[in-house]
Amino acid sequence: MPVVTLNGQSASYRPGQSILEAARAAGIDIPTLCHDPRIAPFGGCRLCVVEVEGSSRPVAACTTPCSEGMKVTTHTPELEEYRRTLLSLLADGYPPEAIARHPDKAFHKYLAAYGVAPISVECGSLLPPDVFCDATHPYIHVDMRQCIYCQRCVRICEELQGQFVWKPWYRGDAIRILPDQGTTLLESSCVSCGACVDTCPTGALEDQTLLLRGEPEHWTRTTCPYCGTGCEMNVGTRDGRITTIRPVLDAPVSKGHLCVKGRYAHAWIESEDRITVPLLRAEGDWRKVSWEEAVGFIARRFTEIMKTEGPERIGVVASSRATNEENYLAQKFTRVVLGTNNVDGCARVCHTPTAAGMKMTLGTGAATNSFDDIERAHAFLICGANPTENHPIVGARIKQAVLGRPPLPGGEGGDEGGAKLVVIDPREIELARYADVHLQLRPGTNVPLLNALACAIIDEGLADEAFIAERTKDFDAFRKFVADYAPAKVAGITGVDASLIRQAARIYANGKPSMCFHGLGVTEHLQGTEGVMCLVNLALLTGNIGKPGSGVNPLRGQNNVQGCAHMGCDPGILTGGVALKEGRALFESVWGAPVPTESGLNLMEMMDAAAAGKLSALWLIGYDIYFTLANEESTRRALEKIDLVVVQDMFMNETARRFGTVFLPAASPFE
Amino acid sequence: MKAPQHPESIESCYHLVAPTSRRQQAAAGHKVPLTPALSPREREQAAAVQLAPEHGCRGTACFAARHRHPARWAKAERDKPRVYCMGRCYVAPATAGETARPHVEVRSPQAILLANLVDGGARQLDIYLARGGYRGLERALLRSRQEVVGEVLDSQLRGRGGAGFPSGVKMRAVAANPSPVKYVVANGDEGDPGSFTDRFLMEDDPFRLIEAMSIAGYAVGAAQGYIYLRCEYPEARAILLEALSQARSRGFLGERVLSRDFSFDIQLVSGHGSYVCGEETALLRSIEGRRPEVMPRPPFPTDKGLFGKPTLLLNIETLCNLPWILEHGGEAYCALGYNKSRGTKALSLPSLFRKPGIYEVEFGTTLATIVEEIGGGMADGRLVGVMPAGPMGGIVPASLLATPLDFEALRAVGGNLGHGGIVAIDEHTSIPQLVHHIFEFAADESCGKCTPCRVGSRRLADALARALADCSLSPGERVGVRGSPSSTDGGTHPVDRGQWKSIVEALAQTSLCGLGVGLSELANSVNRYFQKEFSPCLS
Ligand SMILES: Cc1cc2nc3c(=O)[nH]c(=O)nc-3n(C[C@H](O)[C@H](O)[C@H](O)COP(=O)(O)O)c2cc1C
Ligand code: SF4
Ligand code: SF4
Ligand code: SF4
Ligand code: FES
Repeated sequence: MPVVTLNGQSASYRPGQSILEAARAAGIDIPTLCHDPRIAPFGGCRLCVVEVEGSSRPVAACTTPCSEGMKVTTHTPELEEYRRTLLSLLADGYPPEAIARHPDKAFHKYLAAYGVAPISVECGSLLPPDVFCDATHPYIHVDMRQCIYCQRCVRICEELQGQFVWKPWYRGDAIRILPDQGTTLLESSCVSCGACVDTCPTGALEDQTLLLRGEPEHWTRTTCPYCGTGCEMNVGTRDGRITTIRPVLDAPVSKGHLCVKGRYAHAWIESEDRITVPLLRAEGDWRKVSWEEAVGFIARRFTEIMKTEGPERIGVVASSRATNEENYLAQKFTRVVLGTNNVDGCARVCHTPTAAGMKMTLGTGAATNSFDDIERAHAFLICGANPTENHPIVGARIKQAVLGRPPLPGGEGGDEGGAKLVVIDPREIELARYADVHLQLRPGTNVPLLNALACAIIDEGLADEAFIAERTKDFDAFRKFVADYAPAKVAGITGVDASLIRQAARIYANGKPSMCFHGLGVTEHLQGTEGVMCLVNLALLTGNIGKPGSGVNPLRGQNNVQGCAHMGCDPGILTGGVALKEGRALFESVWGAPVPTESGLNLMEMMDAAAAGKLSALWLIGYDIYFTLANEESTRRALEKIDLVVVQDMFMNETARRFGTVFLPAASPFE
Repeated sequence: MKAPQHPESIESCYHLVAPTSRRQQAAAGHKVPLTPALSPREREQAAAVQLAPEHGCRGTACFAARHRHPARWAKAERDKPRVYCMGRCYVAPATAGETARPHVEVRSPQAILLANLVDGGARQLDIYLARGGYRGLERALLRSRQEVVGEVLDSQLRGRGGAGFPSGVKMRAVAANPSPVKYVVANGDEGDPGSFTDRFLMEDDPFRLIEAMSIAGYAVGAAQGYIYLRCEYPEARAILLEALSQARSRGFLGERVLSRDFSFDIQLVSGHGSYVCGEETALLRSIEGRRPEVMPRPPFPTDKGLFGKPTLLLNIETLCNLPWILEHGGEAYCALGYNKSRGTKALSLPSLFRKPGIYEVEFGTTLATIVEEIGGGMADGRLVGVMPAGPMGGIVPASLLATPLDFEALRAVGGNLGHGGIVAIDEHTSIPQLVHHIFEFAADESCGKCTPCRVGSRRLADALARALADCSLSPGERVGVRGSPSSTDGGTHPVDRGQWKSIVEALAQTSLCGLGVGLSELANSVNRYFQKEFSPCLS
């Protein structure tokens, strides 16, 4: 690795690394207000000026790339004096009460460290009359009297979220940072990711909750409980309440970013209608009971049913929102204590076609690549998924990749053009606006459309013959099969122009590497499994698998879909994805208890059994089936016939309201 | 709580409210528009900002001549948007409707730049051809690209936009870049108040610029050129558009220029009234339709310039030397000049001179010759000093007029060359007033990106305004104070000496671009030569 000298010590650096980053890596702190590692260097605040031997003036450490043998001095009396001057310029007219309120903000810390006090408005120059203060936004408070024009908000909104809300208007000292519509933040196109607030070094942008509840006293690092992306967050609490939730900078998936759900959607924890004591239905009405009474009641009823009617008349449904430990216990309890394999989870419901389709074609039913491959892909195929809404962090990363990356300091790297994008979706999802081709197919025609893509790839000679010969079998049969799906013919079925199909085929085949994402728009269909297999076939056909930046990647719904399935919340599969038949003996020896031999009922079968009067008890963990299963009417008929419905949830859900016998209040992920 | 309103007045055009970025345009529906959303022709047609004829100029030359027409100046101070220089400084204080043309004269041994201007201009292609136009390009096309670059290197031509960087070296860097797409950009922003040479080079000799850009395009391997023209020059805009279309229809632009294996076209882009857009990185962003803020270098435009491609960006006057150099050879050019400043330089002399106008002089001519002989001395006052670089450089005091016109010699006395607008200051303007004027200009024209320039220039402008309003300068010299009510206690408000020193130092050492640095040079020249005049303002 090449080497620079920092304050007399030599330090190595990565090519393209700025002086600032190299110094930070070497433990030297150069003051800066406009730099944030999540966004491209800017060089605006000038606090980071350092001396470089041979250069006539100091240079900005954030925008100057290291070069071999460079000799840098970061702290001299002169440099410190410039920094003090710059800070005092920024402090002119700055509200002193803001400093007193939040002394930990980066800007306030520098003011203290350099002994600069804000000059009060009277003796400094007049406060600009047009400062923007705005509290219309539900989560973000704006007070631009505290703005020092570092433009971090502008750049992070653009570069990390891809939303372009904040804009610098006017110029010189008349510059103002305002939202895109020129009106309130509420009326802007803000999607409330909170990135701008997180980066703002002064508190001009601040979380409303933090202002109301005070600076956090404790921070807890955890994983976001919402979607399956797996973002990491720091939860800040004070007096037992959440005051703010911030992204974790070095998180591998979210890379210092969160979406509105993880960042701000936590008010429900303190919601008035949270149920906090166990409830038992007595003569039609709920009655508050003690935990002993509720648990005793359930235990007695389960025992009665097991003894008199048989354990196969009890079903348990686990939750993809619960942890691995909880799901493991749920299925073990069902198998060992209740003595039945009637255990299922929503994980098995929504993405079974993915698991099945990928297992059949590739041998394993999970995503083939990691999200880090998004930055390596040259083309994307997004089918039946709406990442910017449902997996916003993945969505933002795809958007960034498509818009092109800003270069490193010094201009190396970065690509202005960005990756190509094909969207297959009947709806105009947000990413469709960024797409090179949007195939707006008729709902239910995924399979013919994907086959037409395969057909176009083959007859335009874009298939990866070498890969096919080496890694696949039965290609001839496949070729013959898809030959029947000429784009011109499929256009009639799908309503998508043949030329668009061909264009999409070319983008995907030529991307090298091309990455495919799919969601419930593929799986929740009559031909869900086949749809997934078609996507796998496209990847195999073009050699877009097993390489960085390629692959077939399901976007899962809830945060622990994968874990719930892996823990064995499945009527025929034990922990670790072991089939019941093969694993039973091992599990019996480890658990020291018998495991029932017969495969159990899945949720759909439980509903059928209940409708037929063959199910007496159902324990639902974090799953409001009456509300979510496709046919409300048949679910109602089934649930009505079950004697004991145990519901475990944080809120009184619809299933419990209509059919529940016992309600067990659950803790939230933050408790 | 207050919701800001969308600025819709003309003022909005005059301020940097083109906040779109390329990424944002992509988001708005145009997937990665590597070229602007409008077609080249559409962009040319897009209306430029129009100023009313009576709109007054606030530029430095007009400021220095404000006593000539106090009412006009008073109006200019109120007019919105503020305009700093309209390229009419030869009649300063000027208004936008001024139609008089300047006197043009060649005072160098050899007319390199102004021959056509002296002869009444060459606005038609046929006239340009009849006067020997396009010989430079013809010669260039007969030779290899390397030879053309070599010729420019031999000439030792240096940039006339202010920095004096060797143009051949820039050309060589762009030519050597393997990128298949490159651009040539002509900087027609002529922002320094007090200069108007580029304006008349464009208006009276537009084909020379087109020919020059074609030569540059051939030399570096670019197929597309852009002329970035400030919006204060509507006449130049109309003339250039007409010239471009004549050149296109006659095969001097477009596919196979002069029936040779060389294609080149030029597009005209209008500015929106911002001084900083003359700075190269801001200018390129402006062409791209992004917020024109200065970008850190590296990367230099020669590596990653317009739309991220290698770009040769040269000033109008710099470019206009190329046809002569290619026709007569770099050596012939280099034969003229002084020290490391070779060839000739066109100077703009504003109205305080007895003989205002545009003069071509050989480098090495002394400032005394320029002021006394060529300009005929001051028209109605005693000379205090000259500012050869407008606001972005020092004041050369009358006592140092023996200094020759030369990049290095001027720098040695704390001055600069800028665009060659020699703004004279006479005793109608006090030094504190001048310094206040310039910091006010800078505070208004700063792009707002870096702290020292954005806040520092405003602080000093305000402090000077208060000092001027209060201190014992003659009442006639008082200037209005921006925004804040000045003292009602009757005391004086001198500028804090320590604050003045530290802000000037921060401007010099920490500014991102030449604007902040230029301001510090001005301040330092005041400290150096005008202690006596300025110190009453300091505490
Ligand atoms: C604040 C600022 C304003 C500038 N304005 C102009 C201008 O109006 N015209 C110009 O030719 N160069 C201007 N320059 C210089 C350009 O950045 C650039 O160096 C020049 O156009 C390059 O051309 P040259 O090499 O031919 O001089 C300005 C520089 C700065 C820092
Ligand atoms: S919250 Fe996110 S989307 Fe909204 S303005 Fe801030 S960065 Fe942009
Ligand atoms: S609001 Fe905050 S982040 Fe945005 S420019 Fe102002 S100080 Fe910087
Ligand atoms: S010195 Fe800084 S603020 Fe001023 S114009 Fe240059 S970059 Fe912009
Ligand atoms: S026209 Fe006013 S300074 Fe040039």
